[in-house]
Amino acid sequence: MGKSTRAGLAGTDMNTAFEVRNLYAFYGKKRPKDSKNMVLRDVNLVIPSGSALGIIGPNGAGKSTLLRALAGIIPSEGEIYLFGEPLAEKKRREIACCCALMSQFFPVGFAYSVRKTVEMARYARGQRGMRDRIVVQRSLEEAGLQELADRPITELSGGQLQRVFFARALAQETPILLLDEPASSLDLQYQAELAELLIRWKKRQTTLPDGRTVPNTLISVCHDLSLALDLSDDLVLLKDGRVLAAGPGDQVLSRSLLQSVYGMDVPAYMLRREDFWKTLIARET
Amino acid sequence: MAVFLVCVFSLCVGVGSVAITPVESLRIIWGKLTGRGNYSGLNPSLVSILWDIRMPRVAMAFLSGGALSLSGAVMQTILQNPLASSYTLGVSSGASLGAAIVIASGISLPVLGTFLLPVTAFFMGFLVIAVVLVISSRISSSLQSHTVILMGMSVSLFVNALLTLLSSFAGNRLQQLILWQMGSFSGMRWYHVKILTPICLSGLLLLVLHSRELDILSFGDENALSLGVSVKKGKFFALVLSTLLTGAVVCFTGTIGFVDLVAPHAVRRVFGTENQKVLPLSFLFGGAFLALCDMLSRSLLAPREIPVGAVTALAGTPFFIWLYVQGGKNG
Repeated sequence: MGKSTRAGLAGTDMNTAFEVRNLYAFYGKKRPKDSKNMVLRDVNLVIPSGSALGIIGPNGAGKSTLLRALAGIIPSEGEIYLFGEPLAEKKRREIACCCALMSQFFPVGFAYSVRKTVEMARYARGQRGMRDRIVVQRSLEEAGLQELADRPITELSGGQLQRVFFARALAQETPILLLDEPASSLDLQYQAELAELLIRWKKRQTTLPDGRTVPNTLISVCHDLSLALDLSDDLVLLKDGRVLAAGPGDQVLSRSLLQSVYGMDVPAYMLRREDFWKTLIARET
Repeated sequence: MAVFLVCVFSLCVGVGSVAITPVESLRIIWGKLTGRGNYSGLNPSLVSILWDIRMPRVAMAFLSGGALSLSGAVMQTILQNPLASSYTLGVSSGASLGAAIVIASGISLPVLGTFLLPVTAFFMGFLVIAVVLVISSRISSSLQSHTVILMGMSVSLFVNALLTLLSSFAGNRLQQLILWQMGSFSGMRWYHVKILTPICLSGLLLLVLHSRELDILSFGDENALSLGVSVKKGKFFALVLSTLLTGAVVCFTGTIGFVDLVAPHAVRRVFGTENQKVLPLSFLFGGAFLALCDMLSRSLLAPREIPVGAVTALAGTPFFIWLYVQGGKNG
């Protein structure tokens, strides 16, 4: 993680997807007196456009909270800049055009069809035309949902639902994807397909509604360390709301650091199954 | 749907203590609408019964059913709770308390005249919702559904307790109070229809225009925010609008339950979940349902009237269960 070149001056900077400074976050109305009780404590990050960042760490480290804060859906203290502009001053629709969040929980109340659910992603762009239908259809196909498109979401399994919400994030057509445990409910085949899809996705670029084109940025929370390594260029290791280590994957995943974080000796084969996903994908294609 | 509505309408207008055939009704309505009435061969009292008493009553029942169902559909969507309605949030308790104050105290204001009761009821209903929303937004800044529901229920229990207290002092006006609470469409005139129509139509139009936001809001705050919907503004708008609809109905007719629950569910069961379809269809279906129930309430034990609220539940429950059992077989 390089240091910021701008001294906090507001202004569009399409080369920096996110810049986070002194970020604190907490749940509930009252600010905890002791910063130790905060979910995020003094997080500083610079995430360049076109990069892929994996967020790892033990349960309760604040990984999902960091994603939510980046998506601007929880109140936080400190500064977050999205493409160089303060996140807090942006309209909801503008944010939703820049980054799509796929959270870990899939609320299913009413029996919308899979296609309708995915179509809701197009709200932020405010269009309902031919192009929207094409984007929705493509997202459905990429998530392997063509055959389920007209099924009500209330009748789907956990893994199928996860793919629906992944398809919705894709259909939002944003240059930034924030994924919280995107593969947690997927079977082996779909895990491989997801990894393949994301590895392809992060090489592409996206055109914003205002016409600017930005390279895609992938920010994901993963428990599977080897999947995190395959998806990401850089890793951030969180513990107790703090950034413990950040940098290229191999550096962050040092045996001694993992020992101190997880309290156990993490064997090397758990970290890199010889590019497990990549070989799996290569064999398939 | 249109054919169904015409059938319901002619049935409701025709049936009553004085039966009027559809042909006769059409002649009278045509005459009144074009202003070139030719009522030869018709009993003049028939004309006035149909035009001055029965028509406004049916129209009111239809509009009320529509407004209640519409607000029920909206509440269920944004609170993500299939049992939610504006009643859950205390509109009816507030309105009943307002009505009780007017009835029990026997006060009258020369300016408002007969409108004193509905106006007080309406404002008390709104006041209760305002209290609920203010407290809820203090607790959760994004108006979380379960907070709103819990606050609504506790505040309406509190208001109900006040109501009970007041009723115990009402003495000989108690019966009038109870009758008001049970809800009725007797005594509805054209001026009631003239007040309710613009409220219902503008409410329906505004809500249908925002049906996409409502769809997204049904997925919860986090999802709605990340898809670009400003949750607090959207929820506030929808809550206030559907309270307005319910309040406007309840203040004229008293509390009528069950329509707001049955109609949206029935519509979703048959036509799917998208609010763009659910909202207008709930309005039409709820309206037709309540008009039929009102017809039954005044004709089953004629000349006595059964409270329409009782009919909605008596007729609605078996229908609702049948619909669910059917759906279960097909799906």
